[in-house]
Amino acid sequence: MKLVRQDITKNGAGSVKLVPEEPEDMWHVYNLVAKGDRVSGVTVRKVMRETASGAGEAERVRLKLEVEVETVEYDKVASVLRVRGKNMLESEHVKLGAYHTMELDQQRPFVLAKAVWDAMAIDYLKQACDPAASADVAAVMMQEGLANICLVGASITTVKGRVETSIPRKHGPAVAGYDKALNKFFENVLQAVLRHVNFAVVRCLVVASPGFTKDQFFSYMMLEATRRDLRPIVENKGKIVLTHSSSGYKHALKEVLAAPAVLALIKDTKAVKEVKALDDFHTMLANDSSRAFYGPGHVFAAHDRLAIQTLLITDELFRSADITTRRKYVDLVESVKAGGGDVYVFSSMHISGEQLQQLTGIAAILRFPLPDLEDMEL
Amino acid sequence: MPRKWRQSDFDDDGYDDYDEEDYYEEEEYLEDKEPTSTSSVVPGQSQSFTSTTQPTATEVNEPETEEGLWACPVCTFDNSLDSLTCDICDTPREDLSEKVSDPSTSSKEKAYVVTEVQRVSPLAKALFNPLPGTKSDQATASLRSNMPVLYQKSWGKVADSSSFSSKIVPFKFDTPSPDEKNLAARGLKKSPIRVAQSPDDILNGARSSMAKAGTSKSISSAVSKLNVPGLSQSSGASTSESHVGNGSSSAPEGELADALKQMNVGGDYMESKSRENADASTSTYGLSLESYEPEPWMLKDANKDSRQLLHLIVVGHVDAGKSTLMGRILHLLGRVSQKEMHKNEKESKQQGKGSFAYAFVLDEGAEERARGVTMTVAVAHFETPKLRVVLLDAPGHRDFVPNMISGASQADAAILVVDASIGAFEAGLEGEGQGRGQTREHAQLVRSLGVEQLIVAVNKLDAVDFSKERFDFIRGTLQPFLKQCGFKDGSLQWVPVSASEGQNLTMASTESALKAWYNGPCLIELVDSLKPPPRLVARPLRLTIAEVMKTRTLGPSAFGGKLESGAIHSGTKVRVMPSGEIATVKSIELQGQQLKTARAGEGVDVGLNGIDPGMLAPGGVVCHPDYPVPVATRFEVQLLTLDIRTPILKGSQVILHVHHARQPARVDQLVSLLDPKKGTVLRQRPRHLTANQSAIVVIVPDEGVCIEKYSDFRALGRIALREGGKTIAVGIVTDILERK
Repeated sequence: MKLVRQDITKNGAGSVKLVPEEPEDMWHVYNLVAKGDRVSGVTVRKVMRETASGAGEAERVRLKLEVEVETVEYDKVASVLRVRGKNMLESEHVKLGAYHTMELDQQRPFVLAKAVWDAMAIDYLKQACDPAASADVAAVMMQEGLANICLVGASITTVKGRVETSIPRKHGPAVAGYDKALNKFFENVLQAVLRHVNFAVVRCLVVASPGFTKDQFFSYMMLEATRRDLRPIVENKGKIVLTHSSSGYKHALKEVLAAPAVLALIKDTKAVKEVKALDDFHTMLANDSSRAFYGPGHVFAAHDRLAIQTLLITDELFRSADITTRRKYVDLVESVKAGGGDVYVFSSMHISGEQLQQLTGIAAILRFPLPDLEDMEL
Repeated sequence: MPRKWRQSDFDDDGYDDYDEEDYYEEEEYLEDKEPTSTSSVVPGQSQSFTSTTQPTATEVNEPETEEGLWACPVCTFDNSLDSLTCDICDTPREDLSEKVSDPSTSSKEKAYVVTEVQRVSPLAKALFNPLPGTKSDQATASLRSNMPVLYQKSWGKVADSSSFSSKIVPFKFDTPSPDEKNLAARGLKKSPIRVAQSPDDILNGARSSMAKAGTSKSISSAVSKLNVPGLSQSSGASTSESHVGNGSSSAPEGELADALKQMNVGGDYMESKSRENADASTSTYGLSLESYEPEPWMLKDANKDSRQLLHLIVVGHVDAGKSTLMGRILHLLGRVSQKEMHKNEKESKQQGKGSFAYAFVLDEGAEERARGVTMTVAVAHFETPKLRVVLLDAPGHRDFVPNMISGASQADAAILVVDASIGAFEAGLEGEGQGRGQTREHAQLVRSLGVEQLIVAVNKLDAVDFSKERFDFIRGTLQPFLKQCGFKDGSLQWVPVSASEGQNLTMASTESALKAWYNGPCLIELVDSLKPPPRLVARPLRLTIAEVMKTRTLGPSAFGGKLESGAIHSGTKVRVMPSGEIATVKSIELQGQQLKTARAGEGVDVGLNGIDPGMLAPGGVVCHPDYPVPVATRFEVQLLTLDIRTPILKGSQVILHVHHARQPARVDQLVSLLDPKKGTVLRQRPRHLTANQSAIVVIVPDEGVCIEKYSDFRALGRIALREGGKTIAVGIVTDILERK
């Protein structure tokens, strides 16, 4: 994302002008825009115009509007943001206070004004505008008969394609159909890879599966690539990494991100750090359950005792419509950081973030055990 | 490291909740009811019910429950006479004069009935009235008229069994068998309370016996089945002889036992509101199971082939020699032609794997042969003097455990192949690195998927010079572990074999080193001694789809699977779940041979007409059109966690395995933590589950999954949860909360 102009102070009012550049940027904007903010930009609106005969005629007009945000909607598939609110800018076509839904899209500049820029928002802005943070990994999660083609970005994981074929077993009358079905399945996966994976963008393509499916697919892909002269594959052979996963489902991605071969390539990305942090939390919970807690009740209680070493929190919680709730979480994050603790803000669009979201969205690893907290119902 | 549930005592009632051993619930209920428990209605009722039939026979036991208790009319909790209000709901005790007797009851039985009905509230009676639309044949109808209202529903529930068995002998109250007395006596004397667990456990026991009765081909077999596996196993091997002796007692015995259990169900049903809701919802989704009536063609000549079908799965650690062992047996039994064998030998030599020649009999895939690893479940058939065996050769590699689960869900019995050579056995049991040994995982899985009979074949004994010490060491190490898995001594058999030398497979060993200390039965004799479980022919059709295929003879919409219940013939209308499409059976094949009909227990390939092939997928269930299987989107299970490193939390992502279905799912809620042995609730809403804990959790699959309550249908009610390539928990479905 491009930051064109900024005029903000911490915990004060201010505005920034931004230009989203990638699909992932829309996700960042979604996290930045909160209820009560003002968003202004060029938008399109259908206006009624009276003709001479008195009949109404609709016309689409491009105009600049400023809305006070009431709801924000993120469309993951199209990667656009819809911001709905009351118009705040006088205009010849739209009355003051009339509702308008503004669509924010890539390459369309807009100005975001907030009454208060808190630490989280500033952090997020920095992160969103840091080009080095974006690292794309494409992963083909496979098992016999099922493949998911995923793109793992800095803060979003998207499933681009899903191939599902039923493969007969090897015995009986269907034995001839086995190889045929398997080849057809591989062909479908290959087509999906060609369509969705842009080797110019991704750092590597990971092919992961249990058993030998990945090897079979790899040899099929290479064979076909040479035979049909599929340039992207032939040229990027070095970018393809094979690794083991327990299944072809999306949530096995966390195994892939933890695999040494992949880790070496994407060491410092957010996704990997998140996976690691959540793993640590699980391990701690298994080994010493009085040092790992989840749920706002327990975590805030632990924080009261200054016990939090690592705080795991999803961005979903900051998106809360209620200002005081957001304030509460922002203060928690600030205070943990001030106390020397680590804070990981998980993207709820990653596998690990999804998992943390299921787990109430907030968890903490403590410095010292709090056994009494364990028995408390909070 | 000692494990909690492994420390369980090894006597036969040391089973924990994990063993959803077929008759174990019955045992639970025998032992755990006592007058003050919620479900103590049961022994009381059963006792008095028995006494209506033969007052003299059981009078001895009667007073203990009959007196000193009164049933609350609202919640049916049995309170002691000392209390004037119900302990549970504070309802004041009703005057005894309010006893209601059912008008339909014949005057002769009224006297007894009065004592019965006083325990039951009008609400309860209303609940257990049969549905207006319930079909019933004459025999059941006549039964109903002889019975108090309370029992009508119960009989409705066993409609399939009773209607079918009572064709031969109409129901009459008869002498209670020693079993009954035994049962009642135990029910009265044992004291531990298990309030929390009761409804489902009892349901399980009752339904299962109902199911068993449903398939029995004659009254006597019904009785023997009820008595033999049910009572004898549950009350321990020591009493089994006496029960077997009673197998010849008259027909109504079996039915009585059923009825008792059904009442039992009744009692618990009333108490559990959620169950009522569940029941109500059942009726909105197709007809209730109780109203099902099998068609005559489904039942007749079920017994035609004297040799019964047995699905046998071969499991064990990777490279234990499963495929080689089975290939060798098939060869010795003449199921593999010399020409084929020669081809296999040649091919295996070419690949530099001479020892794999026999494994190639089963491992047909090019990939499997090249790597020398079984990947999918291979199916072969052979026959023994008593059985037609369907052999399922499971992969041992840890990445293919999902395939093994799918195979094991079809199996009736299992052979666990253990590699005796030094180091290999240890690797199989303890495992190296992250993946635990598959000997361990397979044994746990196979048991939790419903296999009770296990033969342990200690293979590769030639590698240790047929040493008795090695065999005994392996046996000594494995036996306690298998017991903890829930296998009983009586159903565990041990045999030393050598696949490569062909020792002790189809005939007694010729190797002097082995003969010196082993003269027991060979492997095939042991297989022959396995007992196929009773088949649910008289229940509505359930045919699980294991694989979808396309063949010339069966057409484009064809699939292979196992009939779990009911029967099909060509022309049968079926409903394919989860899509709900209706189709017609075009043809049925077994090993490429056309069949007219196929009944419960058989694994067949079926071609369908009038359906798009895309509607068929492994994990689907082909059902009777009016009795579709529920497609659950949220359900409650009772879990037992295995050796897990990462705890199971609320929101944990898992892969759910049910019969052939596998699907990502998440744990939505941790409801309660249970004591793995007693089943009592230790803690509500636990924060996490760690290794070897038992718990009730709610699971939400990504999409709807065809599943049934374990108490309704065992084969479709068993689940396994896997994550990160390991099985993390196994369990049974206790309730379906939401469905499509």
